[in-house]
Amino acid sequence: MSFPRFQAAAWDEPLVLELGRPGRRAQLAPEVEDEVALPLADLLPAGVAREQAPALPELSEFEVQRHYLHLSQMTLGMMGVNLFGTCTMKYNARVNELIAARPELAEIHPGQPLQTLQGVLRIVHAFEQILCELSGMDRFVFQAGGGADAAYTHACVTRAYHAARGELEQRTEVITTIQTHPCNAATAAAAGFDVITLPLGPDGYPTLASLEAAVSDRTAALMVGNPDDMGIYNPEIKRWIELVHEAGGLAFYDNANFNGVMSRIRGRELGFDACMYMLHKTFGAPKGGGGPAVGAYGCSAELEPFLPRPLVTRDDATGSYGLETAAEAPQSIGKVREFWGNVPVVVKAYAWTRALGAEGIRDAADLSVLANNYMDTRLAQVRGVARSNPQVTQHRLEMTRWSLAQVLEETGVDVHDISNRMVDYGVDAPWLAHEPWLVPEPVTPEPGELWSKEDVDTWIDVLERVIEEAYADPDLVKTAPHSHPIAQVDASRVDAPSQWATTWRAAVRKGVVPGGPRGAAGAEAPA
Amino acid sequence: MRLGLVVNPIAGMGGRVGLKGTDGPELLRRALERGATPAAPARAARALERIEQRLGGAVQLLQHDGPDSPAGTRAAARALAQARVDLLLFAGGDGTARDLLAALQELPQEQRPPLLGIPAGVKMHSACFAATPEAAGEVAAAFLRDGARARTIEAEIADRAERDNDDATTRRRGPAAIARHDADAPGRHASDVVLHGTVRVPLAPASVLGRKGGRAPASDAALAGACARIADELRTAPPGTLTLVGPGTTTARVLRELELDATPLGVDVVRDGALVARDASEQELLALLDAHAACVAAALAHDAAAPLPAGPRLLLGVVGGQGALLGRGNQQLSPAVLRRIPREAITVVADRAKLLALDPLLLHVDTGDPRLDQDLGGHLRVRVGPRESLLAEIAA
Repeated sequence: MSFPRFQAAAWDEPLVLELGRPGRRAQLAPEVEDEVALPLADLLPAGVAREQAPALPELSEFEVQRHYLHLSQMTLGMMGVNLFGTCTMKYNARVNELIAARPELAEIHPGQPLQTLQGVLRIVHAFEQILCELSGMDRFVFQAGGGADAAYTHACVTRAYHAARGELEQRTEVITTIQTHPCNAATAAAAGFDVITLPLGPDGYPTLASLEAAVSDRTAALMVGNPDDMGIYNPEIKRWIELVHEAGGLAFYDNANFNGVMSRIRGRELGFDACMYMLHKTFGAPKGGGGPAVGAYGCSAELEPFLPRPLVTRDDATGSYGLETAAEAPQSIGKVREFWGNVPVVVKAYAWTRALGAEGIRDAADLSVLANNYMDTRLAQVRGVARSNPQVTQHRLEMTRWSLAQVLEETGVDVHDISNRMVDYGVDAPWLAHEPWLVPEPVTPEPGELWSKEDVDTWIDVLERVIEEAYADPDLVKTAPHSHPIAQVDASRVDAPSQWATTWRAAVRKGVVPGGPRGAAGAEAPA
Repeated sequence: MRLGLVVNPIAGMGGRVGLKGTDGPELLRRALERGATPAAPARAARALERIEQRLGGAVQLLQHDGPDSPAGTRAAARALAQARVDLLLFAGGDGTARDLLAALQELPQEQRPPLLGIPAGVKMHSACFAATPEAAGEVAAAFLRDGARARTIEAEIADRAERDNDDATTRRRGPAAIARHDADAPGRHASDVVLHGTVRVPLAPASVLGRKGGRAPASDAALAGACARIADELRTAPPGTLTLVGPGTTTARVLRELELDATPLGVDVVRDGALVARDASEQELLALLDAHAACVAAALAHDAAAPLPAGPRLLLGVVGGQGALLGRGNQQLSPAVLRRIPREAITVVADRAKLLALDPLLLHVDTGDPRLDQDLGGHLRVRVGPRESLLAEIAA
């Protein structure tokens, strides 16, 4: 068996603020002609003008390029084999990036007259129809800037719905489950609800009895994911929703793990009143780095009056598109984000769904489950690797959480060490888990529909090899990585605010770096 | 199938009379003075009855005659081990477990029988105890029945440091003593609970309680928020509401929010923002409840869906690592006391991580009255944050 060899470049690269010399510069732009020049005072309010030039590094264009190239060469860059579970890693096709970068989209502003925005409105409207078809919901809004923002949107819609019925005083409780993403509990609490979290039962999901014990006439909503990140699907979910509905509550489907059930399950058909998809995960748009994301929030016609505005509308008589504003929807919860949300992400997701088509989406869902079941079979044979909730016999969907507790117990090597060592083989560090950390020493690979059998095999081979190393030579693994410019970061500083420096000024002020910037123009004192 | 049995007749006698143990002649004398009666023999009988139900006459019981001192307990353990019992069952607390451990450690490894505790002490830190006497019976019966297939795991025998101190004195030292003496305390000193060694116990994760955990959570902002909100609810309770506050640092935090000085290891009683009893015994609690008999009657009769009237309430913490709610370190809350408090008037507060470390998430009640234990069974919301409860199940 051959393993990928990898060696990152190791540049002794200073920070960009430590580079350069006064007076160095890139291209000079020509002076503005007098006919088109406007006095600065006409363009900017006086209050925003600086009194001193900022302390910026002065470099030539080439030096800037070289600096950032060096930095990129020192990272693995998410281009290894990356089975980053719960994140549904997908290739973001270049063509979709090119579409979103076209001037027809990149250079427009939502404040333009609507007749000049017909093309983009049409895309948003068409994509809404696609999501309605996939979910069974009646309306979608793309304003929320991520999954948690969509969960918060639901908490606000829940509030508005019960207030409109005169029951908000009474309905103070939201029910969720321990393996539903914690943003559901957090956003419900942020919206003023008391949260009741159900623990897992013997089958790997909470018992119906625990839901019955939690539901009452105080129930405002159920907010739940299914399947969870263990890959376990709650087959009693329809009965759950009936119970919540009988009590007068709403049911929200956190469809974070939609990938394995795309076109197989419609939230509305299960009885859910609302749902959420992450376009930057399931629908092929890029994610990460806190970049633009969209939590697409969909709901039944009954909840439509409460949605954030504007909503995209279509006049069937003329075929023209418009926007329904908050002024036309008195029960709307208002905005959760500016304008219509991150429209370029919607366009990329639209391009992804159109490229796949209905059959392609179903194939993608089935492939992602097939790939995970293949992984399940192989991983179960790896020494020291145990499936979460091992008593559960049902097949897992698009991912499974595993525990390396036995490896830790027998070798002293923990899952962080193993993660650090895997990157020595050019494989991206695996995703472990998010709150709550119920599974000891967790690792959550998710192959999705992208990764080939060879890639999946490589990932498992590397994990197996690293575990063998843990048994044979634990120090080798505990001191990893060995083929990267930085081996291990002293994590103790994470809990030491005196050592944090997310800006150059903070680094200078806290003495994390010596002195001020070399060659920086301006004399702005560190503040 | 040979089952060895050791019953420490004086174990746990201090619990209901407000003592934290019955270790040594002085504490025993004081327990007897306060009217304590032996409980361990009856608890052993409950376990044996369950074994009898499961295995009938197939099991041979070897009992060593009444050990009445640590030396006697050790001699009994030696004799039973030499008689090659398959399992050594005992009724006692941490002190008894320590004595048995000491005796077993004198023997070669292969001659040491696995150990299983019928819980009969006051507050048990060791990991060798079943949740209730009946659970001990179930585990023992399954272990004996499975014979060679039965599996054991290693379990720690632990005990509170300085057990022989007069703990009634240390309890009254106030907050400074909490950190030293209550293993629930975040940031506690490692010497609070002393590990004495390990024994093999039958593998039965849902029935045997883990060692009492004391790991400090990374952040307890959520718990602090839960305590503040519960304190608020106490402040706004109807006038005359009697709130019994169980032991532990978490419940003590609630009282601190009310600027009341709690007894960290005892039961306090709050009424209208003031402490009306500190470190109360069962008799004192009953006297207080009976002085509020009308409220008690109203509370017990009230409709579960309506807001609670000014009846008695109970605030409890959870023993980390074990999930014990009643019957561990709070035996003052006897069946007679608990029968006067409606179930929905019980508020439980605990650290989220501490609860989630229980696998499965089961809370245990062991009041001494199996029928009351059943009545208390079912789901219960445990307050873990200002706006969050975790639903736990009380094992009946």
